[in-house]
Amino acid sequence: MADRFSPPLADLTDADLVLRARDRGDNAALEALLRRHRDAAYRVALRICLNSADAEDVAQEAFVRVWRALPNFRADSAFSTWLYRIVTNLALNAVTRRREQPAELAQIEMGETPGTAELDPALRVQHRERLAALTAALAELTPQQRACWVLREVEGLHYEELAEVLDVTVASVKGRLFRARTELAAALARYDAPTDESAAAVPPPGAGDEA
Amino acid sequence: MSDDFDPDLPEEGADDSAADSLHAELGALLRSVAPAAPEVVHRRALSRIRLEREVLLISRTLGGALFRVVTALPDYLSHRSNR
Repeated sequence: MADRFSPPLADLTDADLVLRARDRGDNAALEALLRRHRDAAYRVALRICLNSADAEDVAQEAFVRVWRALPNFRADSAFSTWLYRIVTNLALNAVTRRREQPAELAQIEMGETPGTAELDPALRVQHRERLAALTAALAELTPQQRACWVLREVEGLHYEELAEVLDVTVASVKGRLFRARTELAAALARYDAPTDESAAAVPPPGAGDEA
Repeated sequence: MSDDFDPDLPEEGADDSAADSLHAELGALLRSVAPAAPEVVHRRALSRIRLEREVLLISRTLGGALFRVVTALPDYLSHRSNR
């Protein structure tokens, strides 16, 4: 029975929820914990897999593994770091399985960017194109480099956290990140460069005025 | 190629402004598109957890019952043979 004096689950820290779920078998605490992190888990999976179906499977499997492994979680690291580690490992496995039959890029099935609806249509197109180019460039990285870049640049993890999540040394993290950044910049430059076709497709100023 | 190939890689926080700003911008671009996990992901995960929990409970209960039967069996058999 719920303790009438205990704070709502939403007010508890991750560490408190972990304690309740692990030590008291509190299912509501576990559900609250998973609900709190589900979007982040899904997004990391999506950005590594670049495929929404795989990302859904990865997130779902990660939550089940969290429940299975919770009795052994000693809280030496933050719950989020531990979850990132599980999600990243599962996502990298999914990418490896998928390699023979690459799915279409997530495109990035990320939907409309909140706040862009009010933008000038030309800016919205520009934003969408930039995102498509970034997605394509990310797809050119190795899965390990992509994971490293996503966790660092999008999720904002520090080198030490990255080393823990990826189970490598900090020097290794720096190496991967350096290469990921270099290759991503190069790939992005290729996608950003106007092709002859696209240049030809742009009508010269004044064209169409005669119609 | 080894991951630890270059000892001169910039330390975290070191000034590499051009690269930093490009990747910060790209990271922000991806963050700006923040899809939520479909509700079905959470629901399915919880269903699987409940199912596994039930199976665990049942197997523990059955295991406990079996253990009691097995441990009581020698006494029961000797009791019968003595009758």
